[in-house]
Amino acid sequence: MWKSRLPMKQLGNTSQLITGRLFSVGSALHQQPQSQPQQQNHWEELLEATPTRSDEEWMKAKDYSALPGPSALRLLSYFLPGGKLHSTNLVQMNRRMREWYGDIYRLPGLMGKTDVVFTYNPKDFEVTYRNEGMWPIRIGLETFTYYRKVVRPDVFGGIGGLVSEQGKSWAEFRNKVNPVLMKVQNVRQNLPQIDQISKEFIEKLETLRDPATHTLNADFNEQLKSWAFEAISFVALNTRMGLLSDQPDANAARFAEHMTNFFNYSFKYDVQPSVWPYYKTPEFKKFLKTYDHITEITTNYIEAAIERFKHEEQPDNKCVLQQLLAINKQVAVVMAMDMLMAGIDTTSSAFVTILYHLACNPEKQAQLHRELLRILPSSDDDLTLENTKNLPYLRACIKEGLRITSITPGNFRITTRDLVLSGYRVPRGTGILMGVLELSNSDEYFASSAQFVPERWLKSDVNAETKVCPEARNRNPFVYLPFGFGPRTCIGKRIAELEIETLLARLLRRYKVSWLAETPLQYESTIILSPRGDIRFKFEPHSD
Amino acid sequence: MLVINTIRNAAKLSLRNAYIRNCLSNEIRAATNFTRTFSLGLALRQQDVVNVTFVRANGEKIKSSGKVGDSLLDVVVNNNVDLDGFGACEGTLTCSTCHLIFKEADYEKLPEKPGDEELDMLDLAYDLTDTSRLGCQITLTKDMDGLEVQVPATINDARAA
Repeated sequence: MWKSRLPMKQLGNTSQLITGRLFSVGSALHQQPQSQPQQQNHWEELLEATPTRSDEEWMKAKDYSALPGPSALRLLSYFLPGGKLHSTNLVQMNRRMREWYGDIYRLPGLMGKTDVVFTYNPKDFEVTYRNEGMWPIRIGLETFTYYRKVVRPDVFGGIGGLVSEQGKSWAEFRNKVNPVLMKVQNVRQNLPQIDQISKEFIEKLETLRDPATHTLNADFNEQLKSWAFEAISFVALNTRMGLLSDQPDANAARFAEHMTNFFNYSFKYDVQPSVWPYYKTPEFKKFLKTYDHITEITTNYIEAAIERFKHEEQPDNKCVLQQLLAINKQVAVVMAMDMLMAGIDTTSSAFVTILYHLACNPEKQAQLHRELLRILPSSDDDLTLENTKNLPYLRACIKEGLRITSITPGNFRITTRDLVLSGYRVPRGTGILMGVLELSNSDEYFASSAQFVPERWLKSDVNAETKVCPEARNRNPFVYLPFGFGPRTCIGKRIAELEIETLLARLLRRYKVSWLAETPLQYESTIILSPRGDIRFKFEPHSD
Repeated sequence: MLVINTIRNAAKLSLRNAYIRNCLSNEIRAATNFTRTFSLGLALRQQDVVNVTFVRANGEKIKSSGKVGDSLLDVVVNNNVDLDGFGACEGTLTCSTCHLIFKEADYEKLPEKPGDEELDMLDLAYDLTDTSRLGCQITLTKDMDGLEVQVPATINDARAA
């Protein structure tokens, strides 16, 4: 019965960003000659092949058609000029729909795309994640897939990378890179170099800081992006770009510009409505050119690194790039590109968010400073694997910052099994959007949710003043998963955490930070939530 | 009907699992076979073998074994122990499907306490207890020989019940 609703070969879009794509017309890969059919993503094949469920829970549940939500026509009318949701951003749109339809509703799939069920119930998140199996389906950026698989198979040899692939080919790739990028010990090996980059960032900050007013003569957000770029290019390319020094690498600025363009284009073509699958506008061709530039520069850096590795003495612990090259060069190129494209704005946006909350909550910042004094008695001391092992308050601050603003407002899966969500039958093959951001800012799940309270995340009392909140034990843990969960967890999670922990420790060991802008931190909702507008901090050095 | 469903499910999952395991453990398995072929009867080698029993939620016991230095997840993977969906993230601490429950005395004796990353994932484990750990983080030592661990029910067991 549900088969009639099954979507076509490809559906739009990623995670939180369903809206715009509802209008994009059809699908790119669909149009292509079926030259390499085995390499395309027929995700329907991944759906469970068993008959529809007939157990008691399923039989008792309400029918799928009873889910609240607009008809296809009504949905379209919302977005037309004059419609209720015309020119709202994604976060606003989700909020409005939730007000109208409740904590679970269905948006019909338009133009042959799959339906998407939006849920704001952590029990549904749990059911979805626990039933995702070995090969969860998570649809990524469509232009990305198009570029790698259709435009440049010569370079990528059919490897789409983690964002594009599904099923067996996804698992093959993920299995190879998991030990390199997700094993805690392996990633933490990079601490000395990441710490060095943090130190250089602070030296740069010192040159930009007015010692009288403790303010910066530069855009802090831009500086942070340079830091994130420097750190991720070290991890991905084993190359220091020198963006924090006076002599940046000649190609680095160009590279950074292409990355920014990629982000802007991707929002335009992967998120907003577009006809590119049918008609390639001149601007879309520029987007493809941007992909070309990024591919070319990444490959050049990797070639140079390979040469370097040949002549350098090999240390005992191989770096991330060497480990990826040991798998093969294509995997290294694809993974390095993905790290660079996904590891700059995300990490810097998360960092600004966390720093902003610490700046607005001086007593919490003082508590963190006490913890940091213990591991860094002098602010020049090194961070080591040993002394960073036990930093419960620092980690709690990071979690709490990302709770208030997780830079991705939701997470997305296509369920491979029939699920009962909030008492409704949801057939396999349906998109499920889990509204993480809304719930983690709700008093129902987090007492005084608007307040920054790192203590919520402590597993045991830090000292007499800093104790675990009682709510920590009773909360459904699926309410808060900023990096996702399970086999398709964000592959950059460990690297991002390492970078953020290291810089936060350095920065707050050295300075008392306060917020100078008159308005609270503002965000723009694009592919992620990025801080925008007036971002000004004051950095007063601690006396010790 | 339900029975048929369950069987089909199990067959499908074990196919998927077998595929993943093949990817993962071809090398490991090759190495193990090698040792087995050539070390039978060598007392020294046998000392490295650690026997482990997994007890399913329904009470069924599965006896298995690994080498000193293997993780409990390795034991499940290398011996194709049939546990539905066990170890989905392959020991990268991003899921909690290798959740195991220890007897209190055994739990206390475990040489390494859980790290922050493991604790975060344990919070997300189904049927969490005070003596729960993730199998991928437990490295076998000689004195664990004879260990018995409980495999908690999964959400799917709960659904089928």
